[in-house]
Amino acid sequence: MTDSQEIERQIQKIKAALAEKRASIEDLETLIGENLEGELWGLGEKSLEKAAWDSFFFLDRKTGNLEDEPITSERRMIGPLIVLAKKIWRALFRPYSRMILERQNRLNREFVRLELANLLRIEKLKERLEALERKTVAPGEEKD
Amino acid sequence: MRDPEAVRQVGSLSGGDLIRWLRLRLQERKRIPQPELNSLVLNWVRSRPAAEVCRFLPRLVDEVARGQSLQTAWNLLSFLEVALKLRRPRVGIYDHAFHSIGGAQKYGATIAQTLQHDFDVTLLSNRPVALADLESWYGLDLSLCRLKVIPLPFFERKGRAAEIIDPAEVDTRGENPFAAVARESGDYDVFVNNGMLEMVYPLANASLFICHFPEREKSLFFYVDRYTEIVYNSLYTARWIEKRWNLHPHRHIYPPVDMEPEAYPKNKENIILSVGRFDIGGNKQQFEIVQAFEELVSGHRQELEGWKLVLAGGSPPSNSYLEKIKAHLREKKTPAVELQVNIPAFALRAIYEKAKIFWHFCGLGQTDPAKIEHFGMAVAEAMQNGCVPVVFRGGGQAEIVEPGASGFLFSTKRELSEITLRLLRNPGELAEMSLRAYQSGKKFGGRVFAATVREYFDRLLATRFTA
Repeated sequence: MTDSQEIERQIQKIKAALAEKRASIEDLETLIGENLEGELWGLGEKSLEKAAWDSFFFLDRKTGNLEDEPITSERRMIGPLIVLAKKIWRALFRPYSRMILERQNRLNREFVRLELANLLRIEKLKERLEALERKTVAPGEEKD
Repeated sequence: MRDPEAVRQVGSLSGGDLIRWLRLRLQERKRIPQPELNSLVLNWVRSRPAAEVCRFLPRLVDEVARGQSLQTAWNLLSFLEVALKLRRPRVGIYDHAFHSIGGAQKYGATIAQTLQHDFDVTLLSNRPVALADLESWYGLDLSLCRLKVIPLPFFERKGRAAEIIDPAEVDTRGENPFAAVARESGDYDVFVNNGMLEMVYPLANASLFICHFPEREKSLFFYVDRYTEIVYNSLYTARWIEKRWNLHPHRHIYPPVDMEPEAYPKNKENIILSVGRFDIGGNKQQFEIVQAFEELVSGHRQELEGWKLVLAGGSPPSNSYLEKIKAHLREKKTPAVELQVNIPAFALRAIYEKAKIFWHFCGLGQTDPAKIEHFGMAVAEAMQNGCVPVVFRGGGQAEIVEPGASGFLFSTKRELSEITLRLLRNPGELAEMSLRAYQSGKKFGGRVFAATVREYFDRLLATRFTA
């Protein structure tokens, strides 16, 4: 066997093992070891508008939700005990926590309203700007 | 990019020392750029005995996979295979619209045809399409290429299988539906994104983003800046890449235009031709072309005697825009206007050869840069046949036609009329310009495209797959 054949075989072997691991990773970020989350900086007007409305709908769906998260435990033996203790703890403090959360919720709702008002205001301004542009940009002239 | 001193030093290290050195570097700098890593390891592999390489390579790859990422380790091995000439480089050419006929898709398929003898070429699509279809649509030989369909559940769920995938439908707060394509890109040495789909993150050692026009703005799924190089089809496109994306494109390659006749067509007739798809939205403005011709005829009957206007182009079966043109022609009873809809390529070629003047309005009155011709295939096709172009001054057309030498540009219908009448009144000038247009059109030919692509990929291999 020549040197290059030997190296080729070794590479094939490593690749075969790596291929299995690679296939088992579903998430792209884990596969490349990098965070792919995009930044709002540098986005264009339409993309920012889309991001703003997407965020608004997300917030709108989530505000006012005071439902308890279910209490679970993965521990086999003492799991039920942990769950019971947490439930008691939660029940004891519910009146107080509920009061704080409701106050915060009122504030959140106001923020969402403010966000909606701002988004709608921008829409109105955009319409006015577009009408002005239609009057001023000559046909054939390029605009971004 | 690569530190030559580091490359030289690495060659003198033993396998164990190299791994320790690598571990330290990964700890210090967090990430080693893939090309630098590839280069360092290749130099080490070439400097050490095969037995030592085989002994330490698994540990080295493992170190890279743990310290950096699994894909980096995978790319390193792929790089070694190509750089050590153990196999041919693999090229994956992706286009989400390969299943439909289009100029951009022809561009990608022609690249595949050009490279298939020296590379293992796979065409990647999201919807089913046969290689035979691509061959017949574009008159290509893709016999050595492979085709792979990567379904995208996000779009399949919408149940519009025949339609073109529209990236504008993607919700950037959710999962990126093109992640499957990104994963696939990592299986190739060179990944070519031909569909200008900016949402595909490239994983290959070398990646090319072919931009026919930056249609969409930057979004949260914008990864064009992650590609090795950006290839553009016209200077107009390049200008908009800079303006819209704030990126500097790298290489200009005009699309392949293969309407060249065997020799200069001498048997010309008094035809003004316009070729363009009858878009339902009327983007090519055939209706305005008919009106302009009618106005010209009514104002200058003598000069226009014996001249006719031919409008050729494809159309979907039910097309309200085409019906509007037909109704107008019936109403006005314009005898000198001829519609040639969905004619075969040989018939189109014959019209090009016969026509003396070529009109193209696309872009006239437009303010949206995407609706102005990004290159102007039809204009280049006309020139290849010595058909003098009189086309709208905008987009890619302004760089194809050299005004006064190989054709004319106009900004208004009045200017168009003046230029056309001038050509009609001066047959000598028309003939001279026809010859110059014919000569100039050769630079957009398929052979020139193939030679440019080959030279470009040779350079890419020489720079990206060596130490």
